[in-house]
Amino acid sequence: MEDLNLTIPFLSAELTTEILSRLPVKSLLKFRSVSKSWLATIANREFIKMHLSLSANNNNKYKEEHDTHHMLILGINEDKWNFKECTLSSLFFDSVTEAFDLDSPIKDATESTYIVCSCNGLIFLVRSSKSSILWNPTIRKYSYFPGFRRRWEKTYARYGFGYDEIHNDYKVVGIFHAGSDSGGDSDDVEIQIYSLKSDVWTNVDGSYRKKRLNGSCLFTTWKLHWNTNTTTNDRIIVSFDLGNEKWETIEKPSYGEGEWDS
Amino acid sequence: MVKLKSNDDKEFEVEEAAVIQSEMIKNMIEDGCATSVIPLPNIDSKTLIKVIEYLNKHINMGKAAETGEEDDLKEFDEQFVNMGWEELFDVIMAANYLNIHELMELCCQSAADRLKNKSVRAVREMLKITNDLTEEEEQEIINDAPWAFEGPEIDDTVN
Repeated sequence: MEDLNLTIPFLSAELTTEILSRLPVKSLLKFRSVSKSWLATIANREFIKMHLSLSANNNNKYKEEHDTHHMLILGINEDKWNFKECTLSSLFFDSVTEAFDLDSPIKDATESTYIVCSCNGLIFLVRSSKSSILWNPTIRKYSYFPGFRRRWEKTYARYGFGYDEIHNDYKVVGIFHAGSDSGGDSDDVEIQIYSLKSDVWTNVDGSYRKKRLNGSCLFTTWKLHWNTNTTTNDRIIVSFDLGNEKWETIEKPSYGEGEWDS
Repeated sequence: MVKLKSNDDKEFEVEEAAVIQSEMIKNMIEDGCATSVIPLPNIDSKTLIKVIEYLNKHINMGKAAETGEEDDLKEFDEQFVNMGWEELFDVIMAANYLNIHELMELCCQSAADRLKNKSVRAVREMLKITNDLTEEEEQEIINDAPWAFEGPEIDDTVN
């Protein structure tokens, strides 16, 4: 990997990278201070990608920690938001599941906050003050997204967050319907996409998306997925491909006469 | 049987079924380039003996699950990586050169596990790395994530 001139006297840069990529994040943060070359290796974008893919596809039989799926729990304690996490395997297999505290960027619970979506260990949070936060609990860092001027003051807003593999970029999609939260479908839709790489919001043609989306977003198979508003009796799931920016719909099964899903 | 020659001119005979765990040698055999002795200019005899020991033990890896020898293999692997840093790195380099995926995994993970909880000072000393960061640069890294430098697991011993 590049000409980093690693100083392990016994090992080439390539093999040092092989070993470092198998270390947990806490160790890597610590070992950035071993030497200049270790710092350069660990901060390298390609290395970070390699580390993520190794940890996510952790089927290494020599490694004991297999838990790559976690559940994030947002709770409230007096007037403070309380984030906890537990591993999915613990939920299934342990008699008692222990939840661990996460040091969150948001504490003040007087303002409503919701978890929009998570992807590759990154969590996207939106607050009622319209500020949105990208949080990486593993390295305990977060950053605020820059705001942008919305077309309407009052909107019904839905967000999505995911990874665009084609452009190697993380993206936020914001869908804003004119009017208050309680209104029905409206033609006045504004769709904005934020690219983490270029740090700008861009406007996308939203004329297609008149139906309101419901609930939180799910990122999987490189697409964002939302449920549609159930009161409209619209049995579809709407997906947005972050790579080619195309909308698609998936029909939900029929539940029978007069029955709705929620 | 396949003959391998280390860089200090020692020859070793290995069963073909064992040696083809090395992608590199497997390709050579398939291409008909392994008719006589295969010279391995990057590997000394001491390291090659270790590698062959691994290959022979893992010869029927696929069958291990059926015959209940998995635990036995696991125990062998644990014992196998119980070596000094220099020796471990020699095996990693050999496994990389010979392209033996499983051996590479085993040794790199073992190295990572040994380093994981070590203090920065201990890592430098164990791996004979000179610290070329300035005091300010080092402090900046610590300030960026002070929690990574704390915790009961942090081990300052050198071994």
